[in-house]
Amino acid sequence: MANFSRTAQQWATFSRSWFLIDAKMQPPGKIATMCSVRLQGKHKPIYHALSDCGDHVVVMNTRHIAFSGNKWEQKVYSSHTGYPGGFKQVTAAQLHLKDPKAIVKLAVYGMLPRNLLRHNMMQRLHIFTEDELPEDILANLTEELPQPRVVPRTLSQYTQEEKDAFPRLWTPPTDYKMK
Amino acid sequence: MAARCVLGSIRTSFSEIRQVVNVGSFSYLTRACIPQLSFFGNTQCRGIRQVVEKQEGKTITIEGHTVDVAAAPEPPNPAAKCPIYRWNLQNKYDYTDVLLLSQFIRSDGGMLPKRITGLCPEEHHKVEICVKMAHRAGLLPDHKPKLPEDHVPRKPKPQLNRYLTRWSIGSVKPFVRTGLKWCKRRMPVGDPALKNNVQYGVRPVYLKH
Amino acid sequence: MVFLTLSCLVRSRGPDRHWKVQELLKHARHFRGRKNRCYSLAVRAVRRAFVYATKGRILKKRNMRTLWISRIAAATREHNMKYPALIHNLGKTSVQLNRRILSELAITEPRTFLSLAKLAQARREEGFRAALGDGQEPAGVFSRAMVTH
Repeated sequence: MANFSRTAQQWATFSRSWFLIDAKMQPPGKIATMCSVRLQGKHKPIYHALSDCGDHVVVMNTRHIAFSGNKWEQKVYSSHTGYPGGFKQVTAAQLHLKDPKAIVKLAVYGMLPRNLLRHNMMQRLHIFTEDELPEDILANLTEELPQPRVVPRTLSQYTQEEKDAFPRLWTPPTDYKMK
Repeated sequence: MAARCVLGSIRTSFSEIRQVVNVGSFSYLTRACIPQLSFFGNTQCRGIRQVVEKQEGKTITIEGHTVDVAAAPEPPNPAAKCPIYRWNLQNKYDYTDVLLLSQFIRSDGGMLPKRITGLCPEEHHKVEICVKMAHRAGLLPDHKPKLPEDHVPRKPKPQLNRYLTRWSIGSVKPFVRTGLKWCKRRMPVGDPALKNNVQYGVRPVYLKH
Repeated sequence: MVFLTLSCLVRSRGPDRHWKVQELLKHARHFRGRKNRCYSLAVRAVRRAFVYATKGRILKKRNMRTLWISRIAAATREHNMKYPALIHNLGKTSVQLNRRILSELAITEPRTFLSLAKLAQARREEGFRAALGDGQEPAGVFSRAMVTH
């Protein structure tokens, strides 16, 4: 009997759990660090590089990721088709419009170790452009990870009470006609 | 200075005159007043002035009321001239503080002049930077320039989420050559004018990614 | 590879070349290709292998330490701390467990590791309070914290 419980414990230790990350308004690099840690299994105390103990990660809302700065226009993704003159360069905005999954996928791929397990780890990454997930993946999910970036509220999301509670920093002169 | 005072007094007196406009003959004027009306209805919390419009039969009465301003709480440093210094807010605001930024902008999103708001030039510059970043991050969705009536949008632009955007979107070019690994051309994030902002953490401000 | 038997110390080991070849091929039998049976190829491969083995003995220590550290870091993150904070504060509380033992505790005895993490967290907060100046010990109380820190 003791043997049986040990077996179950062994299974439970090496079972793969499924994490969910909501990428809405999040920078893809921070999403990718969270993903790569979970895919490698570096969040487990039993981690070993060769034991393939990583988990599954589901990333949703990749169409709504946010870049800081002017990276949508400045960041360039390069590739080569292998043919002469086949060097392609597209900006992040163009790549995102073509394939909303590509930016997150490339970021995660670049953060994984360059070994033979990288392909297996990438197969455990599931990317969805919107927040609608298929039923079989929804059934597997075990935990939702917190978002790395705090999304600021827009002015229309503040309630009138909060707007009134904020002190008026300056009083306009009475004869000034506000536009 | 004197001329400005005179102009101001003329404006005040003009606003209190009841303008009685016939609907049929002066339809242009009434149409021009309607957007203003909607705006003043939005900004009653500012408590400046309000245009009241009444319609009695064929006549529209447009009247300017000066709304009583509620007493504001006492600032910690009332002697200062600049509102930011009066409330001890220097280096303590960024693009996410839309409640602060919205007090210094017009309804179309542009900055109010600093001779009106009383901001010192440095703080005016910083607030302007923050307002720009907030606009680009989409945090001020209602403060957009008014489109003309007959405006037809050509093609819906793809909305890309962004934040801490320093340069305007059309003005930047892609970094086709990023340079060698040890001397890479970095992408600017945020603005160096705000690099003295208060940080509640150990990580320094990182302006180049 | 160091040969510790007396016969191996002798430079000239008799006239029979066959045994000399067998001595060397003994270390090359698991190699791939002709290296495991042809002397002239095997001698070079065996020499390289012994150099790698010598270097590997040093690298093994380094790699094991990085592995322990990554395991401890993973276990510490489960308790909402970071690895440097844990190690620094365990040192401050005179817990002299090395990283190998800590990683083994994290795998086999998670509750022991949790108590260690709690200990480090308490010491950390104590340090913060002392740095802020309002965590002073009352006058007339002599504690070990005053001696060691």
